[in-house]
Amino acid sequence: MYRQSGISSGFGNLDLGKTANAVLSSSFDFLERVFGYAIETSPNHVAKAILRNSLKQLVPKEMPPEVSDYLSRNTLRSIAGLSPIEINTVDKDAIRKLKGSISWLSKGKIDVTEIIRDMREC
Amino acid sequence: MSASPLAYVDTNVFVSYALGEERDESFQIAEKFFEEVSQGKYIVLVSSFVLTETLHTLRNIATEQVFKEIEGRRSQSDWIRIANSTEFRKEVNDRSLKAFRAIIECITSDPDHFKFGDLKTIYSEEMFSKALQTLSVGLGEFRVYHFRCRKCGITIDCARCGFDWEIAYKAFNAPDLTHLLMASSLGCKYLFTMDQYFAKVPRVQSQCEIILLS
Repeated sequence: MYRQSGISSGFGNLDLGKTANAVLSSSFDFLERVFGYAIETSPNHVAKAILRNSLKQLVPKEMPPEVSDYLSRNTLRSIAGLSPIEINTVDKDAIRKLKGSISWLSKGKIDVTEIIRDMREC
Repeated sequence: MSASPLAYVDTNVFVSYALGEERDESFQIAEKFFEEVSQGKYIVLVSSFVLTETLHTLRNIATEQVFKEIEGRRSQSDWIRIANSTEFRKEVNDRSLKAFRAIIECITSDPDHFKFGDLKTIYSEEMFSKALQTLSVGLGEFRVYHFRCRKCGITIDCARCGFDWEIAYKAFNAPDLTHLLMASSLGCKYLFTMDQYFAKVPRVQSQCEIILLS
């Protein structure tokens, strides 16, 4: 969605475009850190200016709620080791799939409310 | 869908539903709630705090299950060796992560029913000060428990002194209050829980209404 295809063309082997596209799907914060590092370490003033300008174009000032939610979803997926999803991904059957999805984790019947209560009181 | 109020769902409701009918004693209560979500009555807000607790719960369940699968009586040194072994750690980690991924896969692919806390949300020290205030004005309950075997569940007596009961303090605590204040900060109208102690938290410190599912 925020793909900027030409970004790597001026920086040879740096391939920032590829890096940026990969991290955009999970977090703009991470992207800012990547660019921040590139700006800080770049010896060329022109390159620094281009990088700063690119960052401004990539990171919107006011993020729409659906984009913010999308980033949160992909950040979670990234933490869990799952591949990113597209912004328009909607699985209408997900609630049904969630039901009993981890029943294999325990063989017997348990009281998860009590387990969590005990955890909170430790 | 957008007109539906945001509902913060406590970890117990969430994990119970994912465990299913054959595994959790309170599943049917959780199922009823998620049916209402499915019908568009609420949108579930899943906080990172709930997911952190979820992962920890899954690790606890996996540990107990892997432990129960080891047969035979063993010495303390044997149990310590097993507990510290790469195989035991890997088994618990693999199972709990697989379960966690299954949950994340479902909730992240359904933006109509599941929303997540904005990553930019900042919680203030004032929020935790309110939690401390709430905790300081009330004392919980004391419950009496019979000692039980962790493996088979049968009641037992201490082999040396014969003690067989204990008194334990039970009350809502810092994690409960944190959930409630976060729910409020994240704009949730309701907080749904199956924990009767959690439901005893006074509402005065939050805009969010606690609903005890039963």
